[in-house]
Amino acid sequence: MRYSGGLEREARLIENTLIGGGVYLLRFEAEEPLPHSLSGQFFMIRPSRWERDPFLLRPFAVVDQSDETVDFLIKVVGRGTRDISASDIGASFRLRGPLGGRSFVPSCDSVTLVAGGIGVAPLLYAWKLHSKFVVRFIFGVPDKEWTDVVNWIKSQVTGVEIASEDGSIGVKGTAVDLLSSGQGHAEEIWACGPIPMLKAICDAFKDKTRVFGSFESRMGCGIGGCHSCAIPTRSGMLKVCHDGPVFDLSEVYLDELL
Amino acid sequence: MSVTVGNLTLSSPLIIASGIWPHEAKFWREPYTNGVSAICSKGLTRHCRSGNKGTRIWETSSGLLNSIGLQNRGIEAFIAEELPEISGNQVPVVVNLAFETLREVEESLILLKSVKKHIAAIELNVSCPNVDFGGMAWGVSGEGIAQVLGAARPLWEGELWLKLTPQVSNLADIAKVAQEKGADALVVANTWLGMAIDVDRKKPVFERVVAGLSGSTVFPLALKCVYEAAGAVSIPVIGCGGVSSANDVLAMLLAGAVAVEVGSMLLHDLLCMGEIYDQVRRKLTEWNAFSVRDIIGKGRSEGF
Repeated sequence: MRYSGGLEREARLIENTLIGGGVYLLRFEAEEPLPHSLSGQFFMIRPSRWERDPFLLRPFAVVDQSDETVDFLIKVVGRGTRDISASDIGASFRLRGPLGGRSFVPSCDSVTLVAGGIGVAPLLYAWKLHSKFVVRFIFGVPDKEWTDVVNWIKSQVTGVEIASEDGSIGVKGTAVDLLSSGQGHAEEIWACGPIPMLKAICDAFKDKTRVFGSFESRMGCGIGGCHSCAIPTRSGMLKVCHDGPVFDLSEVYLDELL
Repeated sequence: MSVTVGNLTLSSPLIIASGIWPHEAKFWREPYTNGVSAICSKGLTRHCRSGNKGTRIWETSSGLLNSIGLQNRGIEAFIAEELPEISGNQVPVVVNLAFETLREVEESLILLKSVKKHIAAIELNVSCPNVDFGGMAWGVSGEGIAQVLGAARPLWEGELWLKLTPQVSNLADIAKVAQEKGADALVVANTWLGMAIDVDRKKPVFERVVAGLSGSTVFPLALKCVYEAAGAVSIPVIGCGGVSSANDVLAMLLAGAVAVEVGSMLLHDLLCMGEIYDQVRRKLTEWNAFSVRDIIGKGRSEGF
C-alpha cells in the first residue's frame, strides 16, 4: 500500500482519557489506513496547532492499533506532553510513523515482560500481539500515585504481577525484585523502563537469559537522519529511532546512560 | 523555479541542509523530495567519528540546540556504502565536509575525486561549532578561510561551496576572502552557539556546555547575515538559517540569496519542502515574476 505523505500522516484525536497519575490514553484516527506497527515501534506526534513552538514532535510507543486508529499512553512530564494531553477531541494532529527499525519479535517460546512506570506502554502492545509467548508480565511502579494506571493495566492484561516501591500496590519492592522471586525463567526478557531498572535486570539475568530493552531518548527526526537520539553500544553510537528502539541489553553501555 | 549556483543549475531554490537527512534511498524520493533541488549530506570527516556523549538535542522556543559532534562513518565508508545508496535518486548530492586539519580535507577531496560524477557540489564546513578542534577555528578568520581554500581549491575542479559560521564580527570581510580565494558559492550561515541549563539538575544540558542553535528562532539573524554577505561578494550566496516558510525563502531571495537551505524545519515537518515550493511558486505568479531569478536581490535597499 502506498501512502501519499510517506511517514507523515494527518490524524484526529478521537479519545482522550485521563487514566490517573498524570497518564492519559489518547486514540487517534488517521486520514489514511495505517500500516501495521510492530511491538516496540513508535510514532512521533504533534498537534497541528504547534506551528513552530513547540518545535519538535514527541515520540510515543504504540499501545494498540487498528487499520485506522492508534493508541498511545502519555505521561505528562513537560511542556509538550502537558499540551498534547490537554487537546480536545477532534483536534488535528501530525503523526510520523510507525518508526523504529528493531522491535520486540519472539525468537523463542517463552518471554517475560518487565515494565517500569510508563515503560509499560510498548509492553502492553507486545502482550497484545504475542500473549501466547508471554509467561509473566511484571509491572513495577514507584507509589500509590500509580494506582489508577495499575488498575487500568489489570483490566487489559490477565495475570499481570504488580510491584510498588512503597508497597502500596501489589508486592513491596521493584519490578526486578519481583522478577527474581519467581520460579523458572523465560528464554527471553523484554523490558522497558528507567535505565536503573534495565541495568538491574541486565546485571541479574544476562548470564541466564537474553534481555531486550526498549529505549527512549530525546529525538529530532525519528528517521535516522539527525543522530540526536544515539546511545553508546558495543557497535558504536546507535540511533534509538532507527537502530532501535529495542536493543539487546548486553550490547548497550547502560552505565553511560545512568 | 530553477536557479543557477555557479555552474550548477538547480530545479528549485530549495536545498536540504546538512545534518538532517538520512543517507537512505527511501528518503531521497517522493513525497519527501517534492520541491527539493539538492540534498546536503551529513557532515563527513576523513575518519569515522562517534560524535558527542550525553544529551544531543534540546528544544528551545521555536527552535532547538544540538550537539551531535559530527557522528559519521568517515569518507571511505560514505563513498563505498552510502553514496551509492543516495546517488541515482534524481536528487543531486552535495557532500558536506568537515575537518580538523588541512591534510584531512585534502585526503577527503582526493578520495572523493573517484566519485566526482555523483557529486553536485562540495560544501566545506568551516563553521561547525561542536568540535573542539574542528570547523570553528577555520571559519572565524580570513586567514583560516584562505588556508582552507588554498588546500581545497586545487584539489576539486567541481563546485566548491563554503559554509560560513555566523559567529564572526566581520562576515563581509570573510566572504570577500572566500571569493578571492576561489569559492564558487557561500552558504550563509550555520548554527549560532547557545547553551541550556537543566534547571532541575542544576547543570548544563550538554556535555560540551555550548551547542548550536537553529530553527525558526534564528531566521532574522540568518537573514541579516545573508544581506551582509550578498552585499559584499559577487559569487552566489545560499541562505541558510531558520528558514521555515515560503515567506522566509522569499525574504532570503530578496536579500540576495540565489538559493536557500532548509534544515531544522524538516524535523518539524518532513514534507515542508513541497509545501514551501508550492507557496513560493504561487507568490511568484502573484507578483508576475517570470522566474525565481527575477526577484533575487530585489529587496536590497540602497546604501547598506
